[in-house]
Amino acid sequence: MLSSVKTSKFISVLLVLFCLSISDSSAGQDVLDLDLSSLMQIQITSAGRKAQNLADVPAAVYVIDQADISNSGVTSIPEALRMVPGLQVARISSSKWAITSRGFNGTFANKLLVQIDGRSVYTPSYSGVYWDVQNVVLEDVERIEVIRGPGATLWGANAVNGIINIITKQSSDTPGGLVSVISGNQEKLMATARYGTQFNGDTYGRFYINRHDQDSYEFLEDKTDAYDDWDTTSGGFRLDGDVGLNDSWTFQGDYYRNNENQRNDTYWVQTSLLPLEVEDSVDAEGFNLLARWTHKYSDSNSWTLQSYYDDYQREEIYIQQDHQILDIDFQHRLQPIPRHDVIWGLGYRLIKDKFGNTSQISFSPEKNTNKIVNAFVQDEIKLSTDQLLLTLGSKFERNDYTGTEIQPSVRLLWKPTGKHSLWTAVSQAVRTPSRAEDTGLITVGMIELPPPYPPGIIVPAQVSRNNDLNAEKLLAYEAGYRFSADKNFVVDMALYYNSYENLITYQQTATGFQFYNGLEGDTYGFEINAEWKPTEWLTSELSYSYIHLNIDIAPTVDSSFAVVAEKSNPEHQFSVRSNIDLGHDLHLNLWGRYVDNVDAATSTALISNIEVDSYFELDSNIIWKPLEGLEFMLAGQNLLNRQHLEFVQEQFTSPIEIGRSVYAKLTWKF
Amino acid sequence: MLRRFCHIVLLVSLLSWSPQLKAAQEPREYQVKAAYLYNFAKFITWPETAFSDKKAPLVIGVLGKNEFNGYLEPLTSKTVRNRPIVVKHFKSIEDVSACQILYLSSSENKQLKTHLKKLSVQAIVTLSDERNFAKQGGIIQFTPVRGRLRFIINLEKAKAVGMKIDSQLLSLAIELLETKK
Repeated sequence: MLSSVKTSKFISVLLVLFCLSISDSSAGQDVLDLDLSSLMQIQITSAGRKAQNLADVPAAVYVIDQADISNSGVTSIPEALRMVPGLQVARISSSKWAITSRGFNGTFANKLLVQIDGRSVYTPSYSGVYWDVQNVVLEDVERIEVIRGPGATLWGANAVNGIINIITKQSSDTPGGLVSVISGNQEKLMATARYGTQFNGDTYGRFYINRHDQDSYEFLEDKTDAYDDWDTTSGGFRLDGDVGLNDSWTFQGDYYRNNENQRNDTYWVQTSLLPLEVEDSVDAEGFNLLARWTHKYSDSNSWTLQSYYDDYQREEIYIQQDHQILDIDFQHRLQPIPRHDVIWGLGYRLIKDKFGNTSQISFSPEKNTNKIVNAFVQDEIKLSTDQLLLTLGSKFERNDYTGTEIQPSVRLLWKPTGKHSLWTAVSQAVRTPSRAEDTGLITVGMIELPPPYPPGIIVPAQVSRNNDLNAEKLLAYEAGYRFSADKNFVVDMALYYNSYENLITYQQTATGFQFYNGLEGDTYGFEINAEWKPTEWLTSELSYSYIHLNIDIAPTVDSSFAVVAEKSNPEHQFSVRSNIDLGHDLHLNLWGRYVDNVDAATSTALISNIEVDSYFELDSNIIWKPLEGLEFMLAGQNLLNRQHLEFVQEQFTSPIEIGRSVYAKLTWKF
Repeated sequence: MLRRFCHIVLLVSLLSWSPQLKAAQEPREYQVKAAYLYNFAKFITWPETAFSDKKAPLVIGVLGKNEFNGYLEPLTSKTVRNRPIVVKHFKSIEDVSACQILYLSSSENKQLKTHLKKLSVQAIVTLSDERNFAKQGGIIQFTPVRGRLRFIINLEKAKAVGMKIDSQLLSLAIELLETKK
């Protein structure tokens, strides 16, 4: 009932929009009459262009640009990532996502490295990403680069199955004001204000504040309110400047504060064999500061020094976490001899943490300081002909958990003509154990001690730390092919075979379970993406990905219990996106997705036997730009089903269904 | 519900089958360059010998492939210090006749050195986008900085041919080339 009312509203607004037509207001300002200082402020190249020619990259790369983001109608970074072929994005609840590349999805999918403007947002405690606190003003994103497959040679440990680089625009590319407001059933309110300015000839800056309130979804089981509504408030700045022609700098920072509700229904107490249900509120807060200096000797010789400080806290019923991270990186690119393009670098990271232990999760020691030191070198060599490019490189990293790790890679690119390119690569990457695996103790249930103990003695079943863990190892074989007929038709495909060793799981011990390097296996898959622009008014993009996992218990493990997550990922995924220019300043966007079924990972599923069915979904929006700088959008997300299940969290919360969302958005740029 | 939605989408698409294409409204690179040339003309004083007489027009020349696409022509309706502006296009360096401002297109990049040698004694404001143009003896070099067009002035060379450049223009140059005293 409710949905049909909303639908008819949506349709009538569509029609109203369609019937209205406002004459074009071409601001015919005469550039010739501008004075010199005004001329110096006119942008002659527009931002958001794909930075590098993708045909020359010997890896499976996909770039989401600003047009993709604004056309798709997504309201957060995780939702934007659904556009990437080969990524698995599943929303667990209103505030939680499981995102991975090429397999092993989970709430704490731990083989993916995520960076925002060069700052790693991978949390060292669980090796995952808290997507709910990754706030970026979407209008200020220049592009999101996603590399599927290992990128450890340049980015280091944990860049095992993929890297996501979220890159915001330089403040020189965001002049003026921007106000945007979203309101809808699920997106209760999202309001953003940004202002960019030029301080003097060589310094630019921008400032933003953002507020996002999202409503709760419903539980799968009884369709009651899932108590997962939340809000986030953030603000920040970015300054960019030049010193002469050869030096440039950036200084930026952000602050956020989140309030999130969650219903925790596996809260264990030592008086009951059954878990309690508690309503909890998550309180997360953090800030970061980043400074970067780049010096250019020439177009092919430059160095960059970057440092950031990241400070965040997160408090929820089962654990309280406090992190301070200091990171310093130096990179130098040069051409020491003809045909060689070398890049080398050094990095240092200091991680200070403090945990507030509970009976559910505890860390020992509660406070710790870890450091990671690394060095890398990569040489891109033009072989005999310019059509053949060989890239050799390795990263050397020293961490406090597993000592020294070496992560080499060899890549070869062949570009016989401008239209075709073929690449292949072999690389090794590692994931170092997380703080939880090394020093944690996690209660996963309560058990009654068997005879000879008298009945009624209940003890916690726990997964305990193992400080002898080795790093998880990946050996990856990849190949890819790109074909660009012309600007209007581009196909990109990639094939891979990944072989894993020492994957961390649990093994049974006398007193419970323990983290253990007990799994091995391989995955293989295929990803294809085609972009097609048949006419000026239609752009469409089609992608498909296939993945298969074979995971086995290592022969060395003597255990009847092992969590095997072979079906934690959809085997098939399809996505079709179209942008249609309807004329009359109207744009229509359609985005259909198919995601194959997955097994609900781990313990909850073992008990309840839940499977996540395959699903089709459709997002659509219509954008109307009546005046320069003014934009209205009416958007619908997940339109095909009233609600659907995408993922089941491993612990803590019962399955939640993701509901349909309809919202209106107003954007004003001045 | 889905059927109705698809229906509407189809309807809207069919009814508005008029792909009206609009060119981007933002000024193009050469439009900005044309405005720069006009401003340079205002802030530079040529020696009297550079003009045949007091009423002679100020000539803006383009050497090589013309990339201005008509953006220079509107300048001919303007004047600089009572002199009308004339725009001329030269195919080769041999065709270059009396002019006060000469933009060397990217098609000339390979022969810049020889061109500059030939022009070196004349009071002509030479302009180019080529890196190191000013260092090689060109008077003004356009250089992009953060997506905006800026410029470098070789003041020493300008002085050598008797041109005076207003301090306001000099202060906006991103770099000035002159011999240290």
